Amino acid sequence: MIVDSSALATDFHETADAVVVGSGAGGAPMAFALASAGMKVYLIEEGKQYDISGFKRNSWKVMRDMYRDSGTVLTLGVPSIPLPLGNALGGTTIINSGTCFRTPENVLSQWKKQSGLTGLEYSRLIPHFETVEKMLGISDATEETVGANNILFAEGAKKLGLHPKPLPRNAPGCKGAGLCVFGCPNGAKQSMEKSFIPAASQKGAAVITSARVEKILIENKKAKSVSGSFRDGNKNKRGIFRIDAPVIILSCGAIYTPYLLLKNKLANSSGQAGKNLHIHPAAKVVGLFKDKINSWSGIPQGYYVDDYAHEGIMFEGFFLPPTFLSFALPAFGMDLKKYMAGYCKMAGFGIMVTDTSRGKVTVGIDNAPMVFYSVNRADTEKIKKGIEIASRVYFAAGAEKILVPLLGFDEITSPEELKILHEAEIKPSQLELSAFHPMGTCRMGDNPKQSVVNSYLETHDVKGLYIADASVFPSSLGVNPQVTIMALSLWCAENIIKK
Amino acid sequence: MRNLSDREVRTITAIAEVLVPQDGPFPYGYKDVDITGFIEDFLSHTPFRVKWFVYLNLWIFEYFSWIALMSPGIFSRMKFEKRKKIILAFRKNKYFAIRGIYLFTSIVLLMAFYNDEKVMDSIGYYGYKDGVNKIK
Repeated sequence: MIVDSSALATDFHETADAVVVGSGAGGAPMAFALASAGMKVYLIEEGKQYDISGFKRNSWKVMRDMYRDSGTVLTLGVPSIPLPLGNALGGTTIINSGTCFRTPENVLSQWKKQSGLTGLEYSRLIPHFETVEKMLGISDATEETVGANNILFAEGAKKLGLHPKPLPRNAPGCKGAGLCVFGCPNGAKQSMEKSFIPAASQKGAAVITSARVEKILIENKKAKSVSGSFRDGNKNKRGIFRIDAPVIILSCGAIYTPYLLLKNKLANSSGQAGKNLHIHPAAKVVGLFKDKINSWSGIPQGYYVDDYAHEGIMFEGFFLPPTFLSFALPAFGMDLKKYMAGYCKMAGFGIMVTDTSRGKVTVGIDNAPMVFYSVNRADTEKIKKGIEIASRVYFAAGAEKILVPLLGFDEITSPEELKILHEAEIKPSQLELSAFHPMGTCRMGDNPKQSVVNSYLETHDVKGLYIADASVFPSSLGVNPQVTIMALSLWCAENIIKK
Repeated sequence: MRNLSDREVRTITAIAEVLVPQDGPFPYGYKDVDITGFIEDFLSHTPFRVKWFVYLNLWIFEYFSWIALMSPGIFSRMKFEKRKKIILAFRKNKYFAIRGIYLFTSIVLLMAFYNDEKVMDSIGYYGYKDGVNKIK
């Protein structure tokens, strides 16, 4: 049963075996697994359920409604970075690109070396990866749907001896609408509200939307209940609720999970809640070509190049409707209008780095989370190198000009100019970035003095309080995180059920 | 509910004229799109802290942006070229906080302009128009 809180009494009090807070990549598989085991489960989501079947091309309306703070979440630091987060049933999975990588084995090994993680072996995660892949219908993007944008970059990459590959995606039946990050208008992308949530509901989980959890109550160091408020269409309070359960799972993502812990002064004897924030800083490189490409048609994130993944640099396709591409370009006024007049002749690819920079989440003004993050020199070097490589690829593919997100190097008109960029010392303040994958703010580990949760994702301080989202990652993952989050969530659920 | 004062509308129009001038390679500019209406809608859907930030940015632009050129004046009453120089100085400023003001303001205004149906058509974007991609 999926029900909006407006259909419930204004003073709602229930008991359950487990409450899952947040319906994204962590919460939805958790609710499914626990309900499948016969537990009485409530899945609580702050956002609403959206029907996007009538969606046309007004992507702003989607952003306004389905993105947290209408897409205006920014990190504070050098540079300031937009950090889009979902705020709807399905969490950020409804507005992500649909890219699905398993956890890289070397990353899990590094996590074990760094944090112990007793019992968490790669082999133990494999059945969970398989469950996720089956449930989401994950398969490689096809040439028919990736569109010219990805094909063009792949051709350039091959000329430079790189190895472009189609990205694994959770969109069987994709028609290449090109609007993955605004909710798939064809319903092909198997985000949580299309996959794990209906499945959880079928198994008996009660899903409540427009309900914001504010308090987590504990008794004798054990989880006891969650309480919060029901929200109306304007996100104003219209009632209160409380659900008592011995098992509480927080899956609100790496910004809101530590925020909830900090606000409730919970599970933070290590002092690590909210710290160690990683975000995969990303830079967009745009190639300007002589002929029409129509990059907006087809899967925006269809191909990737991982030849430099060992250095922490990944290349993945991107493209955006003009509403959003316009402010990602390094120009304004007449210059920007000239670029935008050639919108159909543009191609875009993104660089995402495995960051060593660390930020933090705190409770700020307006009682809302504040996100602090500054890019360090090492990551700046990686981003610069990525921009150089992507630019070389575009020149190899026949681009006339390249637009790069580096203050002082806005437009590069020849491969020779790249030498100037190569020689230049770039400061973090020159970067114009975006980021999509917050993680690490409640990291897992065997040592309660250095981590928030153990390898079974139960908090060291409060029995029965679990965290199942990207905040448990001990370091930056290096690939799109949704499958890792889902697999870890199922791993956590498996151990809750065993208990 | 009205979210913008007359003074704020004047500031927005003065910034919009620089960011999306009327002339240029396609036939639409700031006068052809209801940028103020878009921002009203934006403000009515954002939390208080975001609204506050928009108001603060507009106030800074109107009364203190002259500091970028050290040439006093009220932004909405300045000549176009001077406003353009100020916005360029904000965009390229070495202080990230000042660039943040430019970034945030430009994001909202550019979204307002390039989200317009006729502007999208004029640059050849037919993505999901009427529910399908129409490549022309």
